[in-house]
Amino acid sequence: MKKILVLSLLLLQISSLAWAQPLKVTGKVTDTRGEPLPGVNIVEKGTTNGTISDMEGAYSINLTSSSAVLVFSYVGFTVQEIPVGTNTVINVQLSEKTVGLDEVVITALGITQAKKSVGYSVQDFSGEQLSKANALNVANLFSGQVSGLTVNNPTGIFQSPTLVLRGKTPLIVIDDIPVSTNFFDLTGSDIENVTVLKGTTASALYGSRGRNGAILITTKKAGKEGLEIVLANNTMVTAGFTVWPKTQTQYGNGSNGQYEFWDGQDGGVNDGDMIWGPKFEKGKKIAQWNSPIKDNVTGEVIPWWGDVYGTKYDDKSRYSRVPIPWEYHNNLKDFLETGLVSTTDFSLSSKGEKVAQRFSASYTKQDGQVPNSYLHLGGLSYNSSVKLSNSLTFDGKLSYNKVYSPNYPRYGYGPKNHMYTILIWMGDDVNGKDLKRHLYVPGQEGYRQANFNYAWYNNVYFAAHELNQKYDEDKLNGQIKLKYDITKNLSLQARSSAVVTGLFEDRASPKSYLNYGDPRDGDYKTWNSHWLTTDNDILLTYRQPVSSFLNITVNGGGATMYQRYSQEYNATDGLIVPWVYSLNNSKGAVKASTYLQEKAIRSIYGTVDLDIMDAFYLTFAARNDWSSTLPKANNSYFYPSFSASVLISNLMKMPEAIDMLKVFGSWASVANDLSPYQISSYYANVGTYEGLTMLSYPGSLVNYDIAPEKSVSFETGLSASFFKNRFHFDLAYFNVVDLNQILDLPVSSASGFGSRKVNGNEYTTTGLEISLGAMPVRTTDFTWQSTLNWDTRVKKLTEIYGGAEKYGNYSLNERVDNYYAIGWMKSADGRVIINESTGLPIKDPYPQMLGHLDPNWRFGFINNFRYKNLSVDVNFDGAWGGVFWSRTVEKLWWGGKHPNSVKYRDQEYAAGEPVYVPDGVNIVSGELVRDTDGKVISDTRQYKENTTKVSWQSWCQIYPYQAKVTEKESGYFANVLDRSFLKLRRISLTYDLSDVLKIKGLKRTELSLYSYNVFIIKKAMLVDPDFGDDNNLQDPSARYIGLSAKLTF
Amino acid sequence: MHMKKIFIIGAFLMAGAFSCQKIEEININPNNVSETHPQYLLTTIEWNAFQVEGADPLFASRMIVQSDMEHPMQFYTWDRGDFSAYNELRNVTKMEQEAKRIEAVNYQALAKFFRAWYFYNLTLTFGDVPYSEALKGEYDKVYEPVYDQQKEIFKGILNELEEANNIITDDLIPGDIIYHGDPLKWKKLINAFRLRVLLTLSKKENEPDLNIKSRFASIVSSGPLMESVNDDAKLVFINQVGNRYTEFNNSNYGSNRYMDSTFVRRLQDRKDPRLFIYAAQTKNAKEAGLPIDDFTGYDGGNPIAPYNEVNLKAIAGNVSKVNLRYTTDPVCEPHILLGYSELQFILAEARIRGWITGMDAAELYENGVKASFQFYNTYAKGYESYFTVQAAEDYLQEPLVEFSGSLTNEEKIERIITQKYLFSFLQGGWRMYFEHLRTGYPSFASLPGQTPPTRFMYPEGEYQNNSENVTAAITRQFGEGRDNTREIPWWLKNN
Repeated sequence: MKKILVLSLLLLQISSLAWAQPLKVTGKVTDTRGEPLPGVNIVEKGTTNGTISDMEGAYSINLTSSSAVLVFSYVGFTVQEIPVGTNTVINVQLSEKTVGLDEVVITALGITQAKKSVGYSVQDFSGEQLSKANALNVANLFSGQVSGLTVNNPTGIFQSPTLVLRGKTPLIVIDDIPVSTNFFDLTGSDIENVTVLKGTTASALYGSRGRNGAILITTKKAGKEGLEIVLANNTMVTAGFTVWPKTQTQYGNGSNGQYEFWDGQDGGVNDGDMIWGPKFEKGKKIAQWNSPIKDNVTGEVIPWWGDVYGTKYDDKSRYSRVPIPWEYHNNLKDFLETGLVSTTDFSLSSKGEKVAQRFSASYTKQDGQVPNSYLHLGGLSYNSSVKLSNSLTFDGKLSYNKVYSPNYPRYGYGPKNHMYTILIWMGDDVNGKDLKRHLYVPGQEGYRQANFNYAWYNNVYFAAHELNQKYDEDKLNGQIKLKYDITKNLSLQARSSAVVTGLFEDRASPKSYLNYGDPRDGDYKTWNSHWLTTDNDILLTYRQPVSSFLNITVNGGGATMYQRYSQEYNATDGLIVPWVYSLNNSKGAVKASTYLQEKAIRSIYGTVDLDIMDAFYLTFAARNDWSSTLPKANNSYFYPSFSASVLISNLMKMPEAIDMLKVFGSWASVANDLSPYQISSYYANVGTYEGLTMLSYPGSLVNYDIAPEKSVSFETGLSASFFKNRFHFDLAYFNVVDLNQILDLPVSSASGFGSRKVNGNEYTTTGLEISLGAMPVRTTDFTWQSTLNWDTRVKKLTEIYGGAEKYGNYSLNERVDNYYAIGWMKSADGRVIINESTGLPIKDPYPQMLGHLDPNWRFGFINNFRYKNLSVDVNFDGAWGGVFWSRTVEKLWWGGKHPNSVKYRDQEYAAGEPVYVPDGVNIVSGELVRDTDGKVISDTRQYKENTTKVSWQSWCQIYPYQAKVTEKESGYFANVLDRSFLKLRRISLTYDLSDVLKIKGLKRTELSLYSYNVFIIKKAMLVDPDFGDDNNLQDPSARYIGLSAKLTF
Repeated sequence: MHMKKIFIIGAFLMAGAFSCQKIEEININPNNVSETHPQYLLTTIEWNAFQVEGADPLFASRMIVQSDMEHPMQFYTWDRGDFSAYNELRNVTKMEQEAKRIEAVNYQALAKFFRAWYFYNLTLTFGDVPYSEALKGEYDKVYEPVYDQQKEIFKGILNELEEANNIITDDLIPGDIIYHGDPLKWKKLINAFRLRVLLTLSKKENEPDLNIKSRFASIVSSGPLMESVNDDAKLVFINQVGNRYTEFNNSNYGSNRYMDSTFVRRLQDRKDPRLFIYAAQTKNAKEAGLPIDDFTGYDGGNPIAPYNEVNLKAIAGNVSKVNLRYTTDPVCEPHILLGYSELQFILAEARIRGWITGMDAAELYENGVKASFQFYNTYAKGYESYFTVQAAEDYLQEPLVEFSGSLTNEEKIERIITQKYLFSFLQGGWRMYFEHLRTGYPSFASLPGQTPPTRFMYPEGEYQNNSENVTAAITRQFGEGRDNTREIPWWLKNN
């Protein structure tokens, strides 16, 4: 991992051939065998002026100072420093050494530490990984990069991925400032490095915000002396699908094999719902929603689309609909358009003796696969570092980001989601192209949509084009930092930052748009939200003068955080004139509301770092927070932490194969507060009636004595490298005890409340994370670097509030990711019980345990192959074990589009009566008596084999839909699926054209061809388990191919 | 120079970091109040209590059927009920507390009424439920309330209602959206409800310590009682967002939901014009151009046939859907919690049972029917002509409707209950089902070997969060582990 970072830094440095130069040094770098070393980083010490060696190991550098010292560094080799003096040619031989020892990582509060001294799990990766290939969201590309970090990748446009670190939601920190972000307001090409602080120790210094670990994102700064300009474009388009929800293609809308359209709400023959209709057959004709209307008296035929409600044709005695061919349409394919993601970046950086500054601009356009969905992301960023004097440095950053979508798709299970309509509920008899051409019933434009159904669904094109929801966010992020070196050993740093976010959202719904019970008279809603977060801190650092035995660093400081959030909401009650989306156009009174929320945390903290004999590294840290959201008596909480790292390889002689061996361990205790306004109860305003306000009292009891919750974590691990650095091994075992949790403890609703806030329960998470880095091949022309990440973790309930035996469905020491749901009644030996008279199964009123939701383990496999100027990246990731419930599968069974649902249809329609005999047993006598825990008190049931035939449609609409069925219970009907998958996340080919294109002023030219979301091997049918869950129906998981070009001047 | 700058900036930052504002002051919620006048709670309580209860009671009471799934309510495969009534009771409790704080007696009286209302429904739904220790989560920290025996709950309900009637004053009641603050009308409603509760216990009329009959008679004689439909306790819906008819735009009625054939048949047999407003014509009848008042133009689906059969019958165009007025008219009709019509039927039944004297059962019965007709004459837009005074008179002459002296008392009770039932379409929630459990009228079709369930299982949450008390209640009532839907609770056991 580290190697990739260094390599990419090196690559960046290639372009650093300076503009105008007084002194020039050239030379060649070789290894101890005399082989040339390409890609060696050569930096003028104390500056960021640098270069790298070429394929022959040759380099050339222009110096800024006559007393320069050159620093030569290369992954796996000892760093050498050589004073230039008067030499103009310096040849260097580098010797291989222990990897990683001199690498540094950024830790909490931006404090940089040597990796060897860090006593907890930290893993990082370079921003280069993110800029070669695009994705819908930059965080998608974090997948598989870090062991213990899970990224769930939604498939639709403007759906943000969720990041889970050791089972919890980590803090996101950009340039030392904690932020809340969906990653759309972050420009991938601005990212220099991503560091993941996995444990609580690492982030104890961020206070409660960092209790779940942190992802530190460092943006690029001006690195090289002189001026550098980078221009890049990265464009990708959809190219087929990695996961396509395959449905049955033989039967159309209807029920029991019959269908005829009249009004789309059962006014015809089964035209209200369901895809259990007639089979597609050549020559078959049926009256449909787009059938012309025939005047039975005059014989006139009128073209028509949609129902005839409210027109003169709503008279079956005179008019009829002309049957048209009953045939299959590939509607989902036709509906989806080519998705496009195109990013253009520009950056300009300059560095002089006193001032280093970088300006960057970026614009991304995304065209969604769903028609009329777009996303525009833009950013401007400026940062500078100014040496005000020898002892005083000023750093400033100002960035502006815009996230703008004129319209983006709606997800979730319901008529707003195109997948709900087109995948689950629209039979393929419906001519989608006609739906697209005719959004409205003739003569009722603006008032009544044309559709095949008027009970439950929208015309999917009408919904896509006529309903528009906007997202318009402006984010301004400013920060300043002053660092004053008071003496050689003492420095003071003060920082101040503010993130200001303004978000305007609106939603314009056309008349006749249907969303279950919502008004259907059109509406317009607006949400205006503002966030302000300010962070101020000071840090005093004392470094004891260097000694060979003991080095001490002491940090001390204080911080304050303030957050403010406000929102105003306005909504019309119906629209007077169609298409006019304005509050002025409201039929009824406009409904409006406002909300304001504030929070502050004040903190002091300190750390002591000891470095004893360059072998023992100890860190003590402590922090105290005062939060505004807790009761006064409990609003102060303390976080101690301790970590140690022992470099065994510096203490004793190691076998030759072992370059480095480090063991580490850490312990930390962190705390967490509440959201604002949670310690008192407030009446909620729930509406009005004739001008009278309606108030309601909340159902969760507050607790005036609530105390902060606590997590105590322990972590230990080792880090080693072997065989001259060719092999690197990191292992961490962790144990996190979350105790004194702030719970909304469920109580009997007869108490008047659903829950009450208490401090209680204890959860213990244990896990193992392994990271293997290897460089299996390293020759002059060809290198292969690879990182394998693997992790596993289990979270258990280890103590229950009040010493109770159960907490909800969970018993003591049970996994908390166990999945409980309502299943079917089973006999004592596990067979489905079927009601003899109806032939249908019976629900078990007690929830059943159907597996665990977390996978057994996850992995990521990152590879880089480099052959001369060609570099190939291949990234895999995946998971093994665990289950998830698929709403798509369940609803496809109900609706009749599940591919397995065709099995007995023909047979049954031909027989004219049920033919299917479900596998199961009938109860002939006896009963099952259970206590409230589900424990059997007595079971006297006697069974016989089921012989009752049942309608195939009924069975499919009940057994795999109305309760959960695991793959173990029935592979054919399962709706609870195995989570295991292996995904080829990304493959990219990058070619460095610098040697080919020798254009004046152009330092580097890189071209990448790549594919994202390339293919998947999985167990679950129809859906992409990489999405994380399937609760809300997902877009087909598209494959992308793209091309990027990067020019450096 | 630099030192000075640093100092200034540092001081500035320190000031920001440790400013003098007390940190806890930031946590005062500017958006909501933590104390209120009870009137704002009363509006919420009334709005919620008077909502249409939805389709479940219609399925259970053989009024509608489902054609795309085996609806558990229709097929009597019930399992667990829910305790959501306690959520409503939370606001009732808060209203009582806020009323005590400002000494507003009438809100306390109304709180007692709504407590009685919800506990009455709860105990009929389950049997024993938490009552004496219920709703004490906030101040008394009772999180696992014990279950009270049904009989004790009924006693409590009757006492609370009596108290409510006693304490109510002449002060107007702001926030009241039912009677616009008229305390006299509230008294009438409270008394009508007391009579309903007592009649619900008709199987317990000889229970020694309940004095059902004498209590009933004394309420009737002391009053005040509802005198006309103007005293109906009803919520009028208005065409404004948040205030529209409960079932307006409800997609569930859009497809696969049809009328029950047994219900349609009962209306047809009596030439009951309410059929026209409850049901739509069958597709075939509509296409044949039959007039609305042709009783043959309506039919339903068999509630105990496999649902697929209903679907096939619907395909053939022979099943009526629910009248569109319920989902397309934003105000539709008011929802009556308890009205003059029901009171007349209650009195009629009590008269037949001999609980009261001096009233004419036939007249009471006829008043009940006429009040129902009057309701639809007022609110069923476009159907007024079928509900004139004359139409009601004619209807009362129908052989299955007329209340003649030749009927036995049992037959009279059957007619009374049937008329209550026929005026229950999307009105009154589960009341008609409970009436069926109490009297057996009207009969509900069931699969062979199956009877209509008599109660719901206790909620999952009680198993998890109040396990000891619910276990005790189950064992005490039905035997260990027998939390079944066909166990007989106390109120349904004959003395």
